[in-house]
Amino acid sequence: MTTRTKKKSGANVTPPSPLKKRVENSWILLAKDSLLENSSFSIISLPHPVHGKPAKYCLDDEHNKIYEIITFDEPHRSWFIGETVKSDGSIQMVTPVNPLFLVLPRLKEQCSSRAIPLEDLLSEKGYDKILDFIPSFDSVADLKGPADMKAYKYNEEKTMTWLEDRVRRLSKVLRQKNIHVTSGATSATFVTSNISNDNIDEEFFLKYACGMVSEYLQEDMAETLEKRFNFKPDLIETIGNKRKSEVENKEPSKRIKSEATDLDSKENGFVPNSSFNEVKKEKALTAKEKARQKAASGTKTISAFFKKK
Amino acid sequence: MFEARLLRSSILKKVLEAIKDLLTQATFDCDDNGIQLQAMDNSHVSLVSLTLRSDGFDKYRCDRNISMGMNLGSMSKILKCAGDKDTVTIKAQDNADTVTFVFESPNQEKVSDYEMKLMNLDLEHLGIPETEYSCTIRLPSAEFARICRDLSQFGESMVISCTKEGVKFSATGDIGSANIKLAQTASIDKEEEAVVIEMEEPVTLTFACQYLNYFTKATSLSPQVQLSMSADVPLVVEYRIPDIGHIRYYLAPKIEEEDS
Repeated sequence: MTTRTKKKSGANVTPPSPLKKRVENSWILLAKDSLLENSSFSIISLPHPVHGKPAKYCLDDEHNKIYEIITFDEPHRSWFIGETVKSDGSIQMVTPVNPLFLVLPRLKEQCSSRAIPLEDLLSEKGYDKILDFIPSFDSVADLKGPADMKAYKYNEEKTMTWLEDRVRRLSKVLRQKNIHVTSGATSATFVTSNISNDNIDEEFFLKYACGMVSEYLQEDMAETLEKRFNFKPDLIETIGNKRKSEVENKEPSKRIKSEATDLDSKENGFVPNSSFNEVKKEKALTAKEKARQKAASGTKTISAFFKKK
Repeated sequence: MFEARLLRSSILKKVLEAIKDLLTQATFDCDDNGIQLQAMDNSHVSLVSLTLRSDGFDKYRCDRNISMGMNLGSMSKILKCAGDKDTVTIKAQDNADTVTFVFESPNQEKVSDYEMKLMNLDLEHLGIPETEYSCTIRLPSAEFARICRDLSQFGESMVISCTKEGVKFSATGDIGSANIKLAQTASIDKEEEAVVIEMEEPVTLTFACQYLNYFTKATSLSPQVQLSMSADVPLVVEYRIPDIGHIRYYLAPKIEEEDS
């Protein structure tokens, strides 16, 4: 996370209000200047691609970009805002995210065996709002049927090729930005003239990039992606440990984040229980239901013909 | 207050049998005109639309429109507790979270009531446009059930093709292929046994056998079934329930894939 916050130019959008109540209801958000130029950007809740819990995303319709909102929080911290103190010391950061990652789990789940028109696939849970932000599905899915219906079928091979390309591009950026990717600690501010990232093996960068991309993928996809790169086992061990310890460090902030989003979602009238019920229901697929799903493969969805009232 | 009374529980039992394999839960929308149900199956390829008109009930009262989300598995369990000749009454208070089924034996000696919890279901109603179908085929429902059962042994999908010679059902699979042709009955002695084909344009469509088999669970509701088809729109399989309403199943056609 820290690596990406560096790319942002900081700007404080807290309203400098002397009213204590207003301070309590505000939060600190670091955003790019370009986002602030757009006065109509909106924040929505979508299921996180990895764990499916609601997470916040910011839509910038002017620049056609989606940002994810990341909360960084440490205990024992507060903000001074004007003359008042805000007890919640967390920082929210917006970082751009490729919307394809957000729809990938849904695409994989629903369109593995049959093609579904995009409008139907992305009709619920706020997905409809991000439909326009996705330039093309061609890199992860095959177009089936007439082009104007936009019915897509998930293609694992294409997806993996696309993800591999993402990882390779990311690893190049990591090298350019001189991000420290090997195990062990170095000082970020320590600069020497002769030691640079140039002599570090390409594989370290790839491994690191693969880890970063995997943070947006479900476990089975992350595993398949890792297998594609065929990393050397010893490399996985050293770097793997590093990633793990990083994850452990991140754990508290993540938990706080999910609590915060839960609170938010309650305010929006979203009942978290309902999503749990759904998960339960999906688990209890009987043999009969599976047979029915199999029988349904190759058939268009009925909602492609009948419009919702 | 909602109250609907049917002299014979068998109709409701058969309706439940006809939908419970396809749907796990559904919303019954009750208003002055009767009870309506519209729901898609989990895979969203078929749609069930059920209408029970208020005049078909022995007694019908609906003060305020009410939508009752029910688990059809549970409802079917309850209806199995009713004898075929029992009178059934469905009752619910306005804004209630439960529904009550009362079964009375014909001689009034046994009265049983079952209360069931209602569910909050996401309402997603689809508007079904009025369509003029190119072909309508009426045939005995038992005959249609038999055709679907026989052909599903051969393949997963069934081709229904309607031409001026008649209607042909065919399936192809690993063991071979099967074709069943039906021609229009020449003389109609018994209306229930007639095959009537009205055709404006020939149509050939492919459907999933499994789903047609689910639809034929409604066979006992009506002696006749009506199939309506047009190119590139869903098939309609309609069973008229005598004196009270109908049940319609819509099934989307299969997409012809180039590589298969």
